[in-house]
Amino acid sequence: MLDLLPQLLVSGLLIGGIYGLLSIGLTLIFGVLRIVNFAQGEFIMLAMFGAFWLHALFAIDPFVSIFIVTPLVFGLGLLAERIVIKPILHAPHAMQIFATFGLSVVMQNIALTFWGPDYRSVQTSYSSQSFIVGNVAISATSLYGFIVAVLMAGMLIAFLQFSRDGKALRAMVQNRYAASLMGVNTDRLNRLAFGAGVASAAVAGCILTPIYYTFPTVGVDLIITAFVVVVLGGLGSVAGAMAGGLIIGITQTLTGFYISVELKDVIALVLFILILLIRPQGLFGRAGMEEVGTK
Amino acid sequence: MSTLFNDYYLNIAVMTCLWAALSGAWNLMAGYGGLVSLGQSAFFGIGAYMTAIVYTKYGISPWFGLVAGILVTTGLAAVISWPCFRLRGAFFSLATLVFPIAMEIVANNLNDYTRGPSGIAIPFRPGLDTFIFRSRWSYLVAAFALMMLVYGITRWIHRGKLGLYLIAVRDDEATAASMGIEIVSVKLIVVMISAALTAVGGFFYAQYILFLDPPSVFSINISVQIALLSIIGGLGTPFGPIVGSLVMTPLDGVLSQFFGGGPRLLIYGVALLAAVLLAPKGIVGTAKEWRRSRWTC
Repeated sequence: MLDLLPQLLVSGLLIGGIYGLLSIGLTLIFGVLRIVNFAQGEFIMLAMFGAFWLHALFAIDPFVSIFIVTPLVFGLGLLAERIVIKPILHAPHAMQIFATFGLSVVMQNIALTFWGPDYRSVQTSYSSQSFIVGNVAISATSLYGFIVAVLMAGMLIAFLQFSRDGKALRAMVQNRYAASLMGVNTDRLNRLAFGAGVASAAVAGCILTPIYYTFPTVGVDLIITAFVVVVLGGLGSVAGAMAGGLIIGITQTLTGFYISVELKDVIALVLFILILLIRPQGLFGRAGMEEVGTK
Repeated sequence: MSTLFNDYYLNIAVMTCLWAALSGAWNLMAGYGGLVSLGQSAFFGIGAYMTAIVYTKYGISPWFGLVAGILVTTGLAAVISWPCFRLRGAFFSLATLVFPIAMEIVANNLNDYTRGPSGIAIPFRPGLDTFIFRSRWSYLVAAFALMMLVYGITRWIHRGKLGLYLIAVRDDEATAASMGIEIVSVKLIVVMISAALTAVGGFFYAQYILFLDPPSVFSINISVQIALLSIIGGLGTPFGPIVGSLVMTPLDGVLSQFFGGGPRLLIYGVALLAAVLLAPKGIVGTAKEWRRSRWTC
């Protein structure tokens, strides 16, 4: 049993990187706009369908589709911010939750109406390929996905750390009001954060297409994992989301193998509740974030 | 033909009352207490499953299942929500989202009791002791009574001290605490009342539909539907959930007659978005505001 441990750790790490990327957008949007975007999973789903159709119709590789799908989803994010998010920025929690929930129901059922409930998958030339290192087999799609996820996360962190807009965004995460007093254009940055948040979800969606199935409610499965990851890493912390993703990926793979497959999902939920109760600010979040979180 | 026709409309009327009651129970927590739970379907499903298990497995009258369901859900509500009270706003909602998902996994795997994914079919033995009736009129009377019970409790809370405490806690917890309101016990009371009423709804659902499986009672869609009706009708008003259900449940019935799942839910989602964005106070709240502005002009 134990000789499989390196294999499981590597598989968990690879899927964890993708979980991390899934969650980065959610955490960025929460940090800047103070809104939990329940429709995040549906942006991932749309990106997956985008990559699927580009592959089915024009035989474009999902990893190339990233460059086509991401700008489209970014634009869609700007539109959604304008119509749905902006009016509810200062609304009570219930309205914020159900506005994004409503958006997710609408997007899910647009997909269901146009493309039907079927599970679709993308087969690439390297789908069944894998690299053998020692006695560990690494699947090519997962490895490429992991590399792109880490690159994307690195770019986003660099953007937040060094660029002018990135610094302004971090200022908004710390204190929106003070940032606006310092001359930060909060309206524009809200749009940017939401657009960038769903765009990073779109990258994750494209990566997932050759690994996972594409169907209208795929976002629901993914967003639960993303919530767990984000709460673990600390809502609002991008590096935390990446670390949280790796931890959840490895934990799920290990429990799935050593204990039972059914428990794989339960363990994530149990972790989720435990973290919310013991350390609600997450591993990398600021203390008190969960209390001021929606103010 | 005419009875079939009649049954169709009666069913919509029964479901309208049932949804109004469930939504009213949620409104107590969310509308008054500001505890926006996304986990109501956990209480609903437990209420339904307790009833069905007691009746089909042990052959005891489902009324005992109702009592057991109420006891279990109120106890569970206290145990699981008490630690969650530390969380505010969206964090509370996120935490509550987990319970129906966990319950669905439990129900799917607890084969000995729930028969897993294949679900429980409840044998049709009409009688008051089994709470199964031949005529839908009887169900309508019972559902209407349940709806009025929830309405009565809401009105009583709305007019009494508990309602004021809840609203104070919802609007500003720190100030409410400094005024000497026991925040945790106020929240606990309302969550337990809400859970108990939701379990009664689950009991009714089990004995009316006579079939249960994990997704049909624990689905997140049920929690959303419950919330949607109050939001459309008017959050934090006794009459809101009833108005919301009167508008949405028949509409849903008509939509499902003409459209399949996709377009129907699409219209539902648009309704939810429109309600939140255009009339955040709901039908009742907007009507009140409109009347007030007419009087003052």
